[in-house]
Amino acid sequence: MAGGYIIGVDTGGTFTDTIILNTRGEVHIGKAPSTPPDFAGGVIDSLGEAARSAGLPLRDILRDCLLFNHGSTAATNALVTWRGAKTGLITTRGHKDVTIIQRAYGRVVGLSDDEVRHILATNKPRPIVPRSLIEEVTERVDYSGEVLVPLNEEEVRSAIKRYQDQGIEAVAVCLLWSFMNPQHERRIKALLHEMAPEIRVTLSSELVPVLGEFERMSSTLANAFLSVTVDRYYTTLARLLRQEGLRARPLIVQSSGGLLPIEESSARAIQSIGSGPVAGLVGAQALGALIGFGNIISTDVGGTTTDVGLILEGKPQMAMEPSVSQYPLAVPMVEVTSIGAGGGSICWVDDHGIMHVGPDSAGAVPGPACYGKGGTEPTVTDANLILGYLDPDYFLGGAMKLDREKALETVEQKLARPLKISPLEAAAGAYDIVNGNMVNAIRILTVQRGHDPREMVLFAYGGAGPIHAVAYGVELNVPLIAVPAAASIFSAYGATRMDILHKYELSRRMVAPFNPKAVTEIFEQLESQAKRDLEKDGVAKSAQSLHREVDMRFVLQVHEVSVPIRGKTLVAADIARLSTQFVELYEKMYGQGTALPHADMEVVRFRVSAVGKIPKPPVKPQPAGRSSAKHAIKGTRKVYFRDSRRNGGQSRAIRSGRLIATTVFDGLSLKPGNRMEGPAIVEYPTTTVVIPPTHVAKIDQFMNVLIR
Amino acid sequence: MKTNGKGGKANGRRAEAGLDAIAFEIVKNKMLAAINEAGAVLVRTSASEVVVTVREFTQSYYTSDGHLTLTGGGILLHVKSIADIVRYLIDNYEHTIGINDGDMFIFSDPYLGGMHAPDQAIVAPIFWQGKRVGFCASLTHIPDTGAIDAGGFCPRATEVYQEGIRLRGLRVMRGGVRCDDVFNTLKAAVRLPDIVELDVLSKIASNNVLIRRAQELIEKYGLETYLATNRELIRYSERLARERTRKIADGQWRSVTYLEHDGQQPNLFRIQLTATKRGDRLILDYTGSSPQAATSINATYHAAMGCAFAILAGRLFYDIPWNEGILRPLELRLPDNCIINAQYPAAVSQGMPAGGGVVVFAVQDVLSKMLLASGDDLRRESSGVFGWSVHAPVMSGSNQYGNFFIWPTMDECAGGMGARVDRDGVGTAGTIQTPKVRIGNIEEYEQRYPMLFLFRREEQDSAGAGKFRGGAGGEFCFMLHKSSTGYIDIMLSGAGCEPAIALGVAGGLPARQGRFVKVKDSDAAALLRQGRIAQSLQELTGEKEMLPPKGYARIENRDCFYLAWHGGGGFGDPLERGPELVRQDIIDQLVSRRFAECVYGVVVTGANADIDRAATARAREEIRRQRLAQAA
Repeated sequence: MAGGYIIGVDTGGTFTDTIILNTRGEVHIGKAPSTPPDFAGGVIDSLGEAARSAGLPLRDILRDCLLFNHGSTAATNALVTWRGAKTGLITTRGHKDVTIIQRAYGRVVGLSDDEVRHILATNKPRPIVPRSLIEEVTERVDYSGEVLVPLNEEEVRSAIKRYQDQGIEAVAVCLLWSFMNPQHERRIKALLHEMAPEIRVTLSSELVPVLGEFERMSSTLANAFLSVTVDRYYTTLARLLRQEGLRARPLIVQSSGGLLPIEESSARAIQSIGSGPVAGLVGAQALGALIGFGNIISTDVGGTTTDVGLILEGKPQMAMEPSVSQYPLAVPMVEVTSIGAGGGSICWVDDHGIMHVGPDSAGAVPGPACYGKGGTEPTVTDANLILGYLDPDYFLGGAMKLDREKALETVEQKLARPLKISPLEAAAGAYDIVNGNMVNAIRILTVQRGHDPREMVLFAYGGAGPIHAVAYGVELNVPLIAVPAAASIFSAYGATRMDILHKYELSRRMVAPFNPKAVTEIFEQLESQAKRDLEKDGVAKSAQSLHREVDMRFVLQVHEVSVPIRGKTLVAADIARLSTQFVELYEKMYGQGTALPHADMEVVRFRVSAVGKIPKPPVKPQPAGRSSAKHAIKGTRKVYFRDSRRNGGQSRAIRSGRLIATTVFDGLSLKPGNRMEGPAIVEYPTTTVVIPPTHVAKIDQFMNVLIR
Repeated sequence: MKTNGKGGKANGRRAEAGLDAIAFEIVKNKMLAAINEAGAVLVRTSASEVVVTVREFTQSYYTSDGHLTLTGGGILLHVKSIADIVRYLIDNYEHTIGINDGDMFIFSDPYLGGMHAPDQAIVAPIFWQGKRVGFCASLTHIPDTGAIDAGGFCPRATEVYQEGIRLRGLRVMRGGVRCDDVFNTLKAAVRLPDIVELDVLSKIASNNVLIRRAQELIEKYGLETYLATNRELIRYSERLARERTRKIADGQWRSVTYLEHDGQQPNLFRIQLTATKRGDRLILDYTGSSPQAATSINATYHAAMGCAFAILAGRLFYDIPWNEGILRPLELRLPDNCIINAQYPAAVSQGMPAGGGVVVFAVQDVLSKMLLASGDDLRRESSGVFGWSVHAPVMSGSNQYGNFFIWPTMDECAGGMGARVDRDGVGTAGTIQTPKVRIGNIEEYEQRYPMLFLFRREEQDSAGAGKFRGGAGGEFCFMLHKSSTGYIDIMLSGAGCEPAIALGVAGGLPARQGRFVKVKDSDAAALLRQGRIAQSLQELTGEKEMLPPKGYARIENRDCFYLAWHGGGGFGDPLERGPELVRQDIIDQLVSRRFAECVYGVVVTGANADIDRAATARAREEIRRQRLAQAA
């Protein structure tokens, strides 16, 4: 790798994190408050912080930046806060209820089994476009792609006029069978451009040309809803970065676990949903591979949310049926579960005198009471300050002073007094409750799916993660808790460990015996697009790789098995092998004797994955030294710990606890091999690791903190 | 209403000595994960839409002596009766043909278990080190049974012998090897041999998952823990179910529903359910229901029991592990020779759409009344009845590729949810008995069958009115398209076309009845050629024939077929519904202005549907006056 910088930036709900790596393996990090709803300012602030810590002008760093990889919450945030475009939907006459009926399963998709079973408590998601704003147009194509009724352009024109009158900003177009014959969708797009160039258009035949109108329409609709917000963000960001001197083209982390250039990400807004958390999970995968763990529970505790993901046998788990907020999305997505629990989560007491934490968050503004920025609600961070986990003078490395008095005051007023307990006890209760919420979320992904946490390691990152990790790790009975060296900016780190990834799909039904020429033609069509795109991305030929796949099934089955295909121009023998390969894979998945070799087989979908390998900064191990960490001791302070009980988990009964004199270590002074017995606090500028009296921590040769 | 799950886990007072709370929880959840995984395997390998889309499948674990210890996922109607099948297997074959490692046994006899002959179960013993340690089973609804009618719902049948092949435990796998003799016999008996074979194989694959996962658990946690968890699961659920039952107000409630057709002619049957709740016991007594019919609309005991299980599981015991334990507080009293307890060899193939199906409504109805009389947390679980009537036309014929098809149309599974005590029901929501039910994409239908769907949508005014209204039901209409023979046949199997069955509660009104309509010699195709797509029956010319809920119809090239399915029942008096909410329903096209005026007494005017307050007050006053007049 030539000289220059690799930059990863991750925008979370509360903070924007930056990591700058150079080819010598040096690392600089920066952290700045996020600036919703326009997140671009926070990115620049965060970069500035990192440049300051590197002691170089930001302009120089950006000028010499080779790769700028960005995980962004813009899409997720717009969906969750419902700040999408005012959206319209144009569809085939007679079928406007597709996204209302939702094949009946929109009511349960993405819910846990427990939630699904409580039928009366379930609801369909809020519709992106209410029925009264959905426009039907007369046109009809049949299953073979034949036009039965030509598009009634007059109707399209009057629909567009109504949309203009109603101030519609984005339109999703999804017609029946458009993936077989996209001409009507394309014509509608042309008419929209002609009459209403200000309206942003998403066509289902361009975004997700696959069979199944509900999943296709749901994806198209979500994309249209997000398109304006996401595009505005990416455009602003690209402009600001150029102004600051960046020459490289920013790459955006996709839900698929790969990167795409920023312009393409704009057109495919739904694919950057969950972008930041996915980057974190890829980071956990990379770090796990480096230090020898394949089964990982990854937890990212930020200011607003905790994101939980799973790595099994070294691979991030992909969602079986991707969906966000009960909208199915027909795009590949790494599975990350988000809950409303973080440092900024607000603690409150209900009418029955029960304390709760979250899901509301004080966010970055006004933030926790102790920020002194006008926050009047007690938050988890306030509790952590009272319990002694945080040092008021060393938050963000001292860049921000925390006001302990304010924290005490709000906790006293809003929690302790109504509960008739001391502020310290109230803070400890808040800490327990938020940890319990995290445990529940992790259990849904692990225990409820039959993965035993006792056989996994827990990675804890995000600014607030290491404060809580041991507490929730104990409840889960994990044998090891790892706090990565880059914990506070881990998703930014993960963004630097990814490759460019495009996926191209086309639904076409072919019954065996397949015609090798026809199969080759479809792949060549997809691949020429793939090659054009990789070239446009500036990926060198040597770094490009294309992977072919078909989805096959026995005729009349509904689900498919993906079969990889090697070879360029396919001949009869390749095709014959395809059928054998399918039967082999099928029996491997479902058991010997479950295939039906004499039955007809069919191909229903063709897929090309195009990978553009990008350079990764090197990670060098350092030799382990002495175990004594005396040199790193900063002092001692009183820290609250629950009375010792190593293997908790069963009982939630409130236990007693007390303030214990606790050694505080300076994280930056620690060396590989150093060992610290709890109770101990390890302070880094951007995160704090809490080690209770029951546990021992060790610094490994990559500077990660491993706690047992 | 919430189980005190934490208390249950924390108090540690388990009947099983030595079974620690964490192991119990992990083993239980792993079994549930295995059930879900096996369900996913079934969905991915089956060729039946009823399985893949509508989720009519069941996986479950049983003790070695045949008690249901855990189920989840798919359809809940059949799980209880598979336990009876397992016990039949043990009683009859253990000491005769033997039950050995690697064996699997196939069953499809409604008099042993399941709802009707298409319900096919494969039972497999689970062995560990040469010893049988339990059973598992997978069940699906297969698309044909070789009955007198394609698809196995038989309106004209009068004896079970006409309803297709019934299997009583043939060994379909022997020591891990498939038995071709059984496969060949079964395939020779049905109309779609390949699909049926694939469905048998998919259940074998599903059982393989269940067996493998159970063995992994035993390997890891030890046989004793596995067995203790299985035993404890039933007791655990029983404890929680009894605790919950105790909280319901003591008393007696009644529900009466009707069936309007016997499959051959209009004929009225009464289903009367009296529920008595005392202490931790619940008695469901069907005394007073009609005697069994001479036709196939009867249900067996297993169907009646299965329907009760499904509703209690989904509505009352949703947070308790689903197994035999939740039925322990229940006593089912079925008179002999009753329409929902038919005696062999009565025909029963329509027992699910008819007799058994109506039980689903009756149990919901009494349950909602009971809960309404109970404490606040239970009262919240009361609701109008879910719209679902197995309004299932089974279509068959030649498709556009010239191949024979059978399609049990199950769009009515997107029934409306009943209104809740504080909120409207969800429209086109699904069913209780199959929590994750789906209906197909129109594109999937049109790719497989010779049809073109003119529309599919929620039906206006279909929801039961109330202070909170039920969720809407739906409607669709198709014409034949590129049919290779020019016709398809439809076997109708519905209920609730005349009597309202998705009832309201606390003064809420029932949802609109379902309908089947055939439009003879329509102009749908001619309209398409003119660039028009008909959007209602009114827009089509041709003779409109209201079809009976049960029977036969043939749809020919120029005909259209229309189906409307049920919404959910309402909650509370519609006159108490806020006029603003009614106005919103009008804007959302869920309620017509006429319906709003007649039923809700809400009058709106102009394009914006502004509420006319004075007219609304008058209309409501008038409706109240009429009610009083009728009462007198």
